[in-house]
Amino acid sequence: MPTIIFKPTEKCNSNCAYCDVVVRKAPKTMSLELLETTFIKINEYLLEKNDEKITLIWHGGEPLLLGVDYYKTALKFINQHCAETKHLIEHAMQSNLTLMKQEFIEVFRDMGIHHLGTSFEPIANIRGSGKEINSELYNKKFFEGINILKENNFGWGFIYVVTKKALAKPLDIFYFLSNLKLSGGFMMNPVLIYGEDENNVAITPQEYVDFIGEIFPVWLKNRKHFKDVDPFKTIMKNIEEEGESLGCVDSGTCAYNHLYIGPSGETSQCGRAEDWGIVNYGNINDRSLREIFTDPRREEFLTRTKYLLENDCAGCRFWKICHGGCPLDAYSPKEEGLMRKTAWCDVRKLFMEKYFEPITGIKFNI
Amino acid sequence: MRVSEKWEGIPIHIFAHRFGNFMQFIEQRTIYHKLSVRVFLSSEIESNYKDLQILSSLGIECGVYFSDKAIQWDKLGDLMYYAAYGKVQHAGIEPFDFLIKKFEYNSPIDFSNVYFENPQQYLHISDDGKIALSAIDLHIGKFISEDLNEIDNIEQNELYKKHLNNWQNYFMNLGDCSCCPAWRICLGKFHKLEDKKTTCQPLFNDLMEAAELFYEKKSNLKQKELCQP
Repeated sequence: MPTIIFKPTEKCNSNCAYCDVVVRKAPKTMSLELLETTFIKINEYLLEKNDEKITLIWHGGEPLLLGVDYYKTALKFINQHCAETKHLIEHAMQSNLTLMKQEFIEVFRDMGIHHLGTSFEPIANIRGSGKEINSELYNKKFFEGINILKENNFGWGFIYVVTKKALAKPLDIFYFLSNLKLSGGFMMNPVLIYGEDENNVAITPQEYVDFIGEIFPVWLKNRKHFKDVDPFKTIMKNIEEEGESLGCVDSGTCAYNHLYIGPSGETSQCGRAEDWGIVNYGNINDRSLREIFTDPRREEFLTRTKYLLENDCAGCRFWKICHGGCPLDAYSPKEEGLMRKTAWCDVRKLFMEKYFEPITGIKFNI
Repeated sequence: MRVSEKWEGIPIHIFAHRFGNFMQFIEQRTIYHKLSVRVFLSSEIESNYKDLQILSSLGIECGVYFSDKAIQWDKLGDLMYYAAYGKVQHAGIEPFDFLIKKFEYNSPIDFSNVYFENPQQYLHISDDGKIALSAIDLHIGKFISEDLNEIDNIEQNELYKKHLNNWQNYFMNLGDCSCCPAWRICLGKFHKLEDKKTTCQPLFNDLMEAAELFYEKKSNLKQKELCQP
């Protein structure tokens, strides 16, 4: 089923130490005219493919910066242009929650959103507003947002971005994140730096592996305490379900079902493709979603999977849970094409061999 | 303290600084057994820990209440082990018994309940109908509402909501309590302690292990199927 990373604004009220989007790009916001066009195009696609559902992930920048009227208008467009297909559109949202207000709740409910994805950082001055990255104010506003969600029975899950500043205290961070949400639901991802590492937060794949590797035995021993902690839960689930639950980066199947739509209507493979400025599929104004989803350039992603299986990853025991990693992570400004595994593929392998297998006693695919 | 059989059926919690006259207690022991009574002794007095063990072994529900002045952590640890693992039949010792019995893997437990200090369960009302969050607040006249009628919608009271969200203050940055594996059963009750690594943290971690063990035993019992004769 297609997933659209929908970025109607690049503006953000936070100045995270690892994000340079706002600096790199002159942040734009999608016009209402283009927003309307987007839903017209989604409707056309779904009328044709009515056995499919589209997951539309409202992303940013910070999507709450758009204000409640923007979402009310979006809802009006959905009701107006997607009357027959709106039940096939699933909305999701990734927000920092610091601008959450009660007035958003009703319109989000009408859109069918009952859960928001967010992220949190307990280490000072990594996430926050202004040049000084004011994390104290940010965290206060974050909890105000959480409280509004809680009062309205909205769920939330979060991502933790592992930076250099976290490396010295993996267990402290892990317990903190688990305690923050005892009912579970967080993911620890390595920081991805697309440009200069101005704030000295970048980490090596090895450092990421050692960070999660120190946490893994604690998680494993106390799995019942720590529900839904990724990447561990997904790896375990894949062993139990034989690869059925892989996320987009590890599935090797993102070719024809992911799409990014940006504030000017520009499209590309996904958010990461947009961050690199590659794999562009043209503008939503000029092409139909069907054309974009069947763009011949998408074939390269499938070709890559086949190529890796026969070359870089031939004989790899962990192929089924990795597939060479995210194709967009394989991109390098210094090399042509995507026909190579990613550095993060080695991360997975390293984690499995250094931590997972010795600790669990499970030998993978032998 | 003299107790009376006339108190039978009335839930009574006695908070005493120390145990007092043991012989007097023994004389009244049979009455204590008839009453719905729980005896709390202060954490401040060293002998109280042993006395609580005696009370428990005599079948009297009891507990320790925490004084700001002092907690004997090693003795409290011994008492916790007795409460959790003691093989000889004994009455519950709070707050350990509460935490062990109420433990759930993925939700916090507030053992303030044991002392009637959890506003989600207990509110404190003055004789003129004002609402306080705790016994101390009631005592010093700190009220969240002066109108008893508000009690039905107390969840909407801003001060009440703020109090319930106070736990979030621990999560503004990495701290001893927010990074403690046993946060879920303690919720920062001993945040003022300077050396948590040798005091509250090991005790509550051990207690959580005991609670988990009890939970698993309970779950296994539920799964047990017996053939009908």
